[in-house]
Amino acid sequence: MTPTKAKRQVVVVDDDPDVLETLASVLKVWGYDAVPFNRFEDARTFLSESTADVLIVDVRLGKYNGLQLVHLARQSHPDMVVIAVSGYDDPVLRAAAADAGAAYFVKPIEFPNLRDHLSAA
Amino acid sequence: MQLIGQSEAIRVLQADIECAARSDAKVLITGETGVGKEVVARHIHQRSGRASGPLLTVNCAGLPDSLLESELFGHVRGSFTGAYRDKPGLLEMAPNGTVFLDEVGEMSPRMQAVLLRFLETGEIQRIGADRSHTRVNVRLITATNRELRTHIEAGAFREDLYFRLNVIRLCIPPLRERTEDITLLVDHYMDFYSRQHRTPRPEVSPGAMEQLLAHRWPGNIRELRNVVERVILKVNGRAIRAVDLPPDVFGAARAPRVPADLGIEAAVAPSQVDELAARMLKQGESFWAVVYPLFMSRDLTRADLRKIIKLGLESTNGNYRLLTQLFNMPDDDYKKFLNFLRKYDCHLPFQLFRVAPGRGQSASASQGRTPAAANM
Repeated sequence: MTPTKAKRQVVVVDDDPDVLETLASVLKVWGYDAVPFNRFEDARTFLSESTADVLIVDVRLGKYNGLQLVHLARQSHPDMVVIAVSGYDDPVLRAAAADAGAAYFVKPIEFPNLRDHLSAA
Repeated sequence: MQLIGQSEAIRVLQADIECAARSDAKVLITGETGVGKEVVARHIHQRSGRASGPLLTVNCAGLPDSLLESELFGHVRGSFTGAYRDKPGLLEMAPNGTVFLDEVGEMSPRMQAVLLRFLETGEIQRIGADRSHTRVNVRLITATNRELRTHIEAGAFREDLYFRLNVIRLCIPPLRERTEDITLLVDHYMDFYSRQHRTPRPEVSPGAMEQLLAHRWPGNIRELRNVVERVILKVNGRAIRAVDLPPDVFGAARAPRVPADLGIEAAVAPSQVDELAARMLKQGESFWAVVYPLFMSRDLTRADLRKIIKLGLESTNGNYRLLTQLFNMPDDDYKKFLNFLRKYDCHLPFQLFRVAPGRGQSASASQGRTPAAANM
């Protein structure tokens, strides 16, 4: 269950500080190196310079859609595992996430599902 | 067509265009009027896998609902007066292509619902048809010069639609935020228009360039392009001096910014006010596209706005309902328009503009049913 060699780096982006903190601490408990961001722009800059393994991103990020980060990250990290998280089960956004190669999780996130998804990836 | 500039903002924009072109995701382009939103849409289309398909454009502002719906989705024969035969909509006419919806923020709530449903099903239902006609493979790019977040909070734009359209967001900065690109743009359009008008390419004097750099460019690149073209025709090959520039550009380096809340008479940018009024009255552009963004970005003062409203009310005899039409807004926007004016304290008393008093019309401006005495 726990990653074996070097810790896998997980970038987490959510503009809700509570969600962000919870997710980051759960990921740390699971043995990941969690890097939290609450702003689209900051996450974008980080992703352009880093080699993160996983991106977990909220769809509604202020004026931006989190899926834009997915598209941007795909260019430099084609193999990155991506999970889009949304408070709404919107079929159109679910399809848009699939097109971008991202899994779509509806809030509240069920942690066992998330853990399984991450360890399977 | 190319994107001209070396500023950081333009480099980010170019990266975003590449990113958008590589996917099929919906794109929302934001930026003030005249920044080149359609140019960016064209770039995305031409670099995308859909480049061999068509790129069709619809401007959502100024079209009544039924016409916009017919433009987008088509209609069947007999569905309304004048529908003599079946007509496909643009969404159907762009298979494997791109449809660009400009000024999407102007869509009525009803059209927003129609678009929302289309995004969900991908199915086209022509007006007057009993059932869905066909499914289409088309990419949507939309653009707006409104701050849609504000409109969502005001209840004028659906949030669910916003998030569906805004998968990739491209922000084009106004020209005044990338002044380092102005010299390049001036050079480019000097070359372009000299060639087009077959005149020798004039030199730009340092004094003229200083004015060009200091101007606020409320109309952005479109304005710059027009200024360059006009001045090229005016000087006919000789060097461009500062005084050759249009009055609102000449003097940009000296004019102090006006305090915002003086009275009507204090407005010092009459040429800009007149130009904006002309764009609405003569070119049929909408108040929301011409005046509103400039006011919200503080490029237009309250005094300027009052002056524009005053100009309009003078020709509608104080009737705000007619003013809504005069400024090319849909009738449904009447209340929104009034609320906007009240909010910023720019709602002028209509009585000032009544030419024929005592006709019992005091109620008609607020009710707006009868066009007030049209004797102007």
